This record gives sequence, C-alpha cells and structure tokens, in this order.
Amino acid sequence: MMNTTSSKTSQKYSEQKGEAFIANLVRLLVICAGIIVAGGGVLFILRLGNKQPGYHLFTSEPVSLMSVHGILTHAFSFDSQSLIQLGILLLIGIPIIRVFALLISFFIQRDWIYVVTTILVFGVLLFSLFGSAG
Amino acid sequence: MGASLVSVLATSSGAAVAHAKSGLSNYRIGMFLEIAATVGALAGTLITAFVSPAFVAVVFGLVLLYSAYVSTIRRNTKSENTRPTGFANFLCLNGEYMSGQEVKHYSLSSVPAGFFVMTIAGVFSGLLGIGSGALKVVGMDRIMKVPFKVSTATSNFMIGITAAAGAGVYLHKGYIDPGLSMPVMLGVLAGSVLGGRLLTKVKTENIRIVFAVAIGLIGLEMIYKGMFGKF
Repeated sequence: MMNTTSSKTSQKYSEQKGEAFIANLVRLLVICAGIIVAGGGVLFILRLGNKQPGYHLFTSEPVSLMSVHGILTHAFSFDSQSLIQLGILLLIGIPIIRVFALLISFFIQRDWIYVVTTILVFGVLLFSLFGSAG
Repeated sequence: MGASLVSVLATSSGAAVAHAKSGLSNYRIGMFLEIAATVGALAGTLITAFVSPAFVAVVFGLVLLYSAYVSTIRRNTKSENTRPTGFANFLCLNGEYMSGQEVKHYSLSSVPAGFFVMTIAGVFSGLLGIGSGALKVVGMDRIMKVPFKVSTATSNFMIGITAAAGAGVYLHKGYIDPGLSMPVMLGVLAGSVLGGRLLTKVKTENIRIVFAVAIGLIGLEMIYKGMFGKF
C-alpha cells in the first residue's frame, strides 16, 4: 500500500516538473520566434517602403524560401524575408517540440499507453511534414 | 492560405505560454483525441474529390450554429461532479486544474462518443482546410463533460499540432508569404499570449458566452460562404 501511494506521488511530482519544464521551453521558443519575425518584419518594412503588395495575384514564393536549408542560408545574411520565414519555421517547430517533450515526460512517468499514443501522433506529424516533401 | 495557418499556429503557441504554466491543458485528453482528429483529417483530404466543399461548409456552419445554441445552456452536471467512466479511468484522462485559489478535480464521461466527434471534426478539417477548434471544444465540453476552460486550453494544444502538420506542407509548396504572415503572426501572438493569461482569471460563464457568440458568427459565415460559392 505504501509503495503505491509513494509511487503515485512521485509520478505526480515528475509530471509537474515535466509540465513546468515544457511551460518554460514553450515560452522561450515563442519569445525567440517573435523576436526573429519582428526583426525580419522591421527590415522588411524598411526595405519595401510604400510599395503595395500584389496580393490579388497568387504567386508562389521563391525557391530559397521553400526549404529549410534555403531559409537558413539566407537568414544569416539578414535577408528580411528569410528572417521572417525562419521565425515561422520556429513557430511550426513549437508544437512539434511540445509533442516530443510530452513523449519524454510520459516515458519518464512510465505511462506506456500515452507513450504509444504520443508516438502515433508524432509519427503522423512527421509524416505529413516530410512525407510529402517528395 | 498559408497566413491563416500561421495564425492558427500563433494562437496555439501564444496561448500555450499561459496554459502550460497554469496546467489547464490536459495533454492526455489532447493526445488521445488528436489521434482521432488527425486520422479524420487524413480521411477528409482523401474524400475531397467526392464531396462538394460548399455543401460541407454549409453543414459545418449549421453544426456550429447548433453548438452555439447548446453551449449557452447551463449544464446539469457540473464537471466536478461527473462520475468517471471506465474509459476515462483506464486512459487516465481525469485531472484537476486551478481555479482562482482552489484546485478542482474533474472526470470525463462518454469517451468513445467524444472520440467519434473528434474524428468528425478532423474530417471537417481535412475537407475544408480549417482547424475545427470550435468543434473540438464543443465535443469535449458537451459530450465528455470536460470543464470549459480545460476544453479550450486543450483544444488550443490540439490545433497547434494539426496546424504544424499542415504548415510544413505549405512551406514546401511556397504557400507561406512572409510579407503577409509577418503581421499576422505578430498580432496573433500578442493577442493569444494575452488571451491565454486571461483564461485563468475570467469567469467560465463569461467565456462560454463569448465562445457561443464567436462560433455562432463563424457558423453564419460558413453558411454564407458555402451558399454563395466562396468555397
């Protein structure tokens, strides 16, 4: 009896620690993403000035903005659009990192049902991200 | 198109800042239901060829209108008093959250029904390209008797996942325009961080009403768009 109670409480404890860790991680990532996009945004506005964007026309983005590699290369040269895309990339990464962190958290708690569940969801996530990149 | 997905991501992550800290999101519920939603979304994308989106949009709009109405009816069983069911216990879906200074426990019921509704929500997502967050909240709140604040926080978490999946594809296809996405992302991020913080402080009844109005409007918009060919 004693064992079950104490293992339950320690489970609770590690779950809370896990959640606190995720909370801080998310906050950090959001701030980073926000700063990067804001920086890119400022540059963007400064460079483009008063030009009206042609949003009624749908044109695909340049190739350099479509791949992770391309974005990273251009972002470091302070190209405003690549910078923004980098921030967006980070934003996309946040839910992914959350899921991954949860996977680890469930694993530590030995909550196997949810380890499997999370792996399933994570798998589908990765598949839709990279599976269609062909 | 890409910008709207970015806005969903920003909403999810911005609000997550506050939700994660407050422990309002129930990740187990979210993960479990997200399976249904994702499978549903995949199915939805597959059947787009056979069903007219305009028709689906109208149906979805009607569902939302009905949900808006139903959301305003005060529930008979407060979620704190719901007796847990077999599935809920087995899957460890029950939980607790902070409301003001007190800790409130809650339990779920009708889990399979909730799972089914999530799948439908996912199908709508796949068919219409929307997040169906509203439907997810309603599913959790009405059917599974999850406390309203937990429903919204958990749904937020879920839509972030679905949006991330979609956004990766959009990025590769070049649908995300930085010039457009930038202000959207910054604005929505600011708003959702604020909103996320407010969630812990505002009375549930008020949130319910705002929510009902919001989805009522969306429902009307869906019906309008479906009927007048914007789909």
